[in-house]
Amino acid sequence: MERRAARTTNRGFATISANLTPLIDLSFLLVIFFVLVIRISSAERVPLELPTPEEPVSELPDNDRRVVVSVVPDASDPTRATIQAGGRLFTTDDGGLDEFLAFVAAARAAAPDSFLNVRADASLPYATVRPVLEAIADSGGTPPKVQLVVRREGGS
Amino acid sequence: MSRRRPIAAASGAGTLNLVPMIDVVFQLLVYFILGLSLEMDEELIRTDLPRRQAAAGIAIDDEPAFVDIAPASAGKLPMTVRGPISFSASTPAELRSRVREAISGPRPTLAPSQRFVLKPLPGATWDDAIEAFNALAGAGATRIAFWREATP
Repeated sequence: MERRAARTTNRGFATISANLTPLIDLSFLLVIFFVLVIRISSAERVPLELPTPEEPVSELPDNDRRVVVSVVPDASDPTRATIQAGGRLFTTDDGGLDEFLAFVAAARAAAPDSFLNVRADASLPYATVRPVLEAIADSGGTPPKVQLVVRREGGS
Repeated sequence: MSRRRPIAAASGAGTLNLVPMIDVVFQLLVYFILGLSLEMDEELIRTDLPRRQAAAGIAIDDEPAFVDIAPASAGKLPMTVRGPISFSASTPAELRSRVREAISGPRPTLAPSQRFVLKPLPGATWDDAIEAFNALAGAGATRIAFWREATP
């Protein structure tokens, strides 16, 4: 009788605690997901002042395969530009454009259905962007599927 | 006479305090979620591009409408349409209105499949070209391309 009474008294010290391990697992998985997504998107989204047309007919991007081509104005001469695509840099002189054309042709040969998203700074002269478009048009195969990237009105 | 500490409390002294770690993890989550949503302000305008080809005869029924785009100044974007229809517009809204009327007005003069060729003039910017492209697409044009010189 005495032993049973003592055991009952000890049970009074038991604490109830939530098992936090699944919560922490899930949180870390989410953190890893967002870190990876942000790293991928920041590699594709070179900071640019994109055109913001009135009453845009643009659509939200979907998950189609894409090659993002950014035309970035040079800091020293805003009428000149550098092309960034697939983690590589290309100049807009004849040699650089030839390399860019070869890059686009290879990318389209590897994934013929992929889209080419062209991001160019709004202030760039059209004459600077035109050779980039022409290189894309000359990249062979079926006509390229080009999409022009704009900034949504009211966006940051 | 010393008081005995309860056994359960003594065993709890060795556990990790997870609350600060959870706080930090949630702070990181909020940071990344906000950072990602701030970048989602870009949209796409679908287009097609002309391929380089030798100059060929243009059929009458397939005569493109050329849109000359002069550099924007003082809030105006002078544009001149030449071809099956001819007129001048000083803003993208005016171009959109005139082309929409020609395509889907009471007495349409253009088919929705009418080809438009944008020709930005020297000094015009990428922004000017996009404004004109967007205005034509908004008017219902489905075949819009950028002009390029045909090579023999």
